[in-house]
Amino acid sequence: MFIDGQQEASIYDTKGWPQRSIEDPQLESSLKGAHQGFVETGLQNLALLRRYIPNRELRIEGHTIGRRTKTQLWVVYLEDVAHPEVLLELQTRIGQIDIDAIINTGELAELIEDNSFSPFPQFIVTERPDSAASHLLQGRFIVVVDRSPSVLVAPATITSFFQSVDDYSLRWLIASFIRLLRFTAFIVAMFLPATYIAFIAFNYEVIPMQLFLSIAESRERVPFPPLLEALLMEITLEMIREAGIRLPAPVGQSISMVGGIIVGQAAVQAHIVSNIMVIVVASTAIASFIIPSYDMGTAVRLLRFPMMLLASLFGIVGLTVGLMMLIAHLVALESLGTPYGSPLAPFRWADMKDTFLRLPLWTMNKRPKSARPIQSNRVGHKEPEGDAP
Amino acid sequence: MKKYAFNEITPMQYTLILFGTQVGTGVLALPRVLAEKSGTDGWISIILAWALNSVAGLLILSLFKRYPDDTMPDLLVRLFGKWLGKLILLPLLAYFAFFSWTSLVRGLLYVKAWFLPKTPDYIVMLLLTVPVFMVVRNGLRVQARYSEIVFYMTMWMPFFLLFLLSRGHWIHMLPLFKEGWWPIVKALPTTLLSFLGIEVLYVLHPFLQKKQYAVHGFMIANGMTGLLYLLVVIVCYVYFSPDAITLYNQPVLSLLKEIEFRFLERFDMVFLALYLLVISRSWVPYIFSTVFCASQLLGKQDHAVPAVCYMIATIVLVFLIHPTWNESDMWVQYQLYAAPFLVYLLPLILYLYVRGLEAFRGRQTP
Repeated sequence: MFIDGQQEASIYDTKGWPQRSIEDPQLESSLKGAHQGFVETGLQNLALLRRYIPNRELRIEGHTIGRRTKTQLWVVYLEDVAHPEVLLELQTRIGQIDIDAIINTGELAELIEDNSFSPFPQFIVTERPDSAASHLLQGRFIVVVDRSPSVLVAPATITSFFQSVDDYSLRWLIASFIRLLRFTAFIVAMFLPATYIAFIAFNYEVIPMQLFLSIAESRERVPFPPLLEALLMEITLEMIREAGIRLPAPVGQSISMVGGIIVGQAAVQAHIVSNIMVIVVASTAIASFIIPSYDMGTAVRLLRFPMMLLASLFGIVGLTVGLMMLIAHLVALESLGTPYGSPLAPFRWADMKDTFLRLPLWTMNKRPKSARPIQSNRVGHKEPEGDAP
Repeated sequence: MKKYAFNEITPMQYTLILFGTQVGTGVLALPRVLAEKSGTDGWISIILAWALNSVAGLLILSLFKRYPDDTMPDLLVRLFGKWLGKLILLPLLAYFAFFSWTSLVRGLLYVKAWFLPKTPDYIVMLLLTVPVFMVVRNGLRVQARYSEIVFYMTMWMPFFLLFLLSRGHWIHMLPLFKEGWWPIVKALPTTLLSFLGIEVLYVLHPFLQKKQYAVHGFMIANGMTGLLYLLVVIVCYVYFSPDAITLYNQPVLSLLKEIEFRFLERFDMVFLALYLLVISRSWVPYIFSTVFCASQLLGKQDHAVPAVCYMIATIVLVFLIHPTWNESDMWVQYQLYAAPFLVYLLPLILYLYVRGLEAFRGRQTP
């Protein structure tokens, strides 16, 4: 662009692509949060983020990866809050990627994650600009990948998968209750079928006679051992769930109806599974839907099966050993060199305000420590404080 | 130069590792063992053992205060040179390895007796060592996190015993000193054994981030252990009659059997299954100390390989020996002989040696 009287000209990038208009996020819907989701154009996503944080400390760093696709990435962070060590780690890992193509954010996450053999997601992948912005404010990093409608948030901790944007717009008592409900659901979804198997098939002396008899009565004509029964039901349910995702919405409805009738009614009447098993499987399924993050939900769904196997082989000892392995895995896992189990292990008392409970916002005048911010006061400015961890 | 800066732990984690190392399987049978030796005055010997142990721990800490960045293997090499230092390290390594082995076997025997009587013992051992190995192969930081999270998850356990306190009879505790001091002193060695665990300080100390809290952390951990043991022993004494208590092998578990819910009949089994978490927490630092000493002895930085070897060796040994309760008791006796030398005498000798060296060199700070 030439301007009359000026010696310089400006060149603008006015390339246009076919692009989708900004819509409500599909995967992470919210009741009271914003209804603008990220889209496939990276620059638009950056604009969305900038709208939330119009601050001069907001840094945006461009990278290009993929030999063929030349995919553009932008690392976004708040310079006076985010930890430089974590940034360096993230930059190094992105710099080391040598691949022909990156199509989606999920691929990037898999290329830079710490442990590829873990079932747990080590980065938050979100399609909500408001939750991305709140992570930025806590001192985390956002990686926006061009052509992908979701951004990557790093470093993640296990508890951050149980937080949702809605928590902060509900009354804090209610939000805390819902948080607790999610953590309970996490445990139920992972251990309920295994506990059932352990108590029915292995350590039946633990439950009182009356209760055992009533369960045995409902299992009387079921030919399968509890493990097989549970596996049968769980796998059927997983199939129904998977079928529901891939089918277009109108057909999906009929799937859930067919599934409901087969699983709920006919299987029991045909004495293939017992009533109690249906209750167990159904409550497990409901519990796994409560977890707000889809990635975490799938991790729980998968881990249920080894737990069931351990329970059927070794009873409640198997359950405890399963729990021990789970803890051992979680405490060893790191996300970009930051402990994944934080703020539970390493325990951070100050972060408890926003972990299991969501206390009133005025109590949280410090940033949570698990993201390792170098500036811990929320209303602080440029000068970093001396209490960086 | 700080050798271990990469794996520093917080004072909280340090405290909880120490506490976790001290509390293991021992406490389940402790009330019986004490009652056999010293009747209902056994709780006094807990206080004595606590005091003795505190002194020993403070001695270890004052030794390491002079060498804040050294573990025991480093210190031995520094004081006695490469060969002699490593030679002195050998018995310590053997002690750690043996202690880990006996406490693993204890756990195995509990699981076999209570839950899996028909499963072959080496399979049970495999089952128990896999999660422990998953923790131990990592740095100390990960193990600290494990101790920490297990502590928070099992914090509620002792409070269940308080429910039963109302059903007890305090008259069982009287009269005090009914047979004088001798039975109390006689029970001291066994009580001291259940307080063992402070020897992981040999390895732990240089990893502590803020060294000024080393003493505080130790005193808190030791105090918590003492209080826990006191609670357990007193509840058992109050609940069971002085004669009946010796009839139960593990009075704590028999006590928990009395707690019943309408939906849960054998609370003791569920409790013991969850107590495995606590037991595993006490294995982790011991096995870490073992493999750490081993890797130092071999001059390697990484301790994952010794950890694998140790785990496989344990499983193979269980397969060959098939340990029984009696053997396990015998091994614990051996420990009782070895512990005073390595836990109480060794730091004392080293401390005197270091002080002597300082006096000889003209009070130079090392």
